[in-house]
Amino acid sequence: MGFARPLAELIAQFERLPGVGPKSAQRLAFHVLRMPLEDVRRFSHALTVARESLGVCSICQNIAEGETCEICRDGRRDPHLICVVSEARDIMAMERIAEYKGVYHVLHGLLNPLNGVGPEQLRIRELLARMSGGVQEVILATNPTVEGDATALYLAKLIKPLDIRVTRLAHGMPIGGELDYADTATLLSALEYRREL
Amino acid sequence: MTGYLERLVLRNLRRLTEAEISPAQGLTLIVGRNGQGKTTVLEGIHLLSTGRLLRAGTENDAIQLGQDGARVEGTLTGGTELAVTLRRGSRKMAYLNGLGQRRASDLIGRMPVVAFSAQDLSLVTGEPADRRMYLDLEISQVSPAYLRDLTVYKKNLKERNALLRQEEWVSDDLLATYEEAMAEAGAGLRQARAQWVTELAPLARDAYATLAPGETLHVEYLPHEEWMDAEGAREDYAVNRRRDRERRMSIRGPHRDDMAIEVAGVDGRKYGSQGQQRTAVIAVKMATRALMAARRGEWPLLLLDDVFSDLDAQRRACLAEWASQPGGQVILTGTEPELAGSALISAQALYWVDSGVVTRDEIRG
Repeated sequence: MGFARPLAELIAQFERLPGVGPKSAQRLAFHVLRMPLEDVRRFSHALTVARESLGVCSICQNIAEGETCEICRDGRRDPHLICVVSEARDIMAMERIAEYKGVYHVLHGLLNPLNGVGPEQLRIRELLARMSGGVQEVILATNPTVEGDATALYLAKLIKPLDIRVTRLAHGMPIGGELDYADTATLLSALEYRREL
Repeated sequence: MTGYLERLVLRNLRRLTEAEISPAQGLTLIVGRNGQGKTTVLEGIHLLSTGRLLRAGTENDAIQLGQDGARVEGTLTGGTELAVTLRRGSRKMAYLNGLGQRRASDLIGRMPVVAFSAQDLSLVTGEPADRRMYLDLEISQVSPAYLRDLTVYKKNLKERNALLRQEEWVSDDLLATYEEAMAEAGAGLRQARAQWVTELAPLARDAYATLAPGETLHVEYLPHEEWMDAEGAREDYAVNRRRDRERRMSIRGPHRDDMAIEVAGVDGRKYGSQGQQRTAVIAVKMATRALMAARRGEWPLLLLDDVFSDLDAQRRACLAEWASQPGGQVILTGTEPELAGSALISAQALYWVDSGVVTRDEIRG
């Protein structure tokens, strides 16, 4: 109705993206029409290249260019220490602290039977396959939510019998935060996991 | 610590288009004929305090006809501001000092209330779920740990039940994962409930004896199983796993607990008059208020909605005297004939409600 066919098609494509409704799709499409042709070419090229050249690391399931990811290829990282995260973007958060020298494993989700996510839908089999290579410690860095807790507990049940140390990230007061502003759930857990000085 | 409710503003809640009241520190009366909007004032306070309406029905129904949303705001002494908004077809939102909270229940404990309305008769006449709701709501208001355990327990129970409903990847290891969280949180719930009812029972018995001399009220916690600690819970869930898988739901745990409320040794659902049942509920609510005060070191706000109907003159007098005792804030609704001539004459503030319009009494206010 009204729009030239290529424009209607462009709008339809934008609408397929997560979080983009019909109105935003239209706005984005009209924006593209006003962009210099060179910019549009660069944009579409980036899309294709990213999609074509990126896959999933065959070891840790992180986003990777090629067979394995940069972290798994890095000889300075300790392959006997594995930090398990829910999403690839969690790796970036961990890498920002520049302290962690081990490797990672990305589950691509968290257990959530209510939404039909079970162990089969996560990269758990791939994680267990790595346990034979002399791994010394698995750090479970899933979110402190019901889903994250359940996933961590389930993994611990599977890994601990293999005589591998399993740890979980601590939760408590945010650094630089004020007691007065902390939510009760955080404060409660900070109190329960308090430590000796 | 938290102070009392100084100012309340209601917008588009049921019949009330725009209403503002400034409750007294002691007793405030809200007077009007039936169906004018008295209860809605209390309902707004209850929503602020607990995130829940007072009456059954959906939140959409509580929004005034022809409006997109409703809003309730309250200011406590010390300046703390609470607000809850309802919006058609959208999530209810809670605000603390203007800051949006994750859940409406995040306001629980900021302004503790004990409410008594016609709906509360279900505490005696209703299902175990009604009594669990009582325990959950009242204990949550004095214990953030309880509220946390309750949230964690409910969520894990839902996940475990979802797991039991499908066959593809349900496994003992996976079920045990959810049982672990349910055991920890469930033990917390059981211990807190047991302690609450133990402390409540003598207070309720005394309150009942005052309202109805010669009769005895017995209140007792009835956990669905014997276990009270996480160890026992883990074992119980594990032993019953096979049965749960057959029934495709979690059939044991604190989500099946109950509470006995008996008059003269007879189950509440069976005994006599509605007046007797009402007296039992009022006694439990009076005891609840006293227990909350003991736990927190200050009185919770008491909301009494149309409590005088169905009570004989003696019990009315008793209740009126109790409501007008110094200490704590009380907001009470009723019709004019019911309130006239009682101890409630001593009220510090009086509001009239007529056709959804709330006005402060010139002489009294």
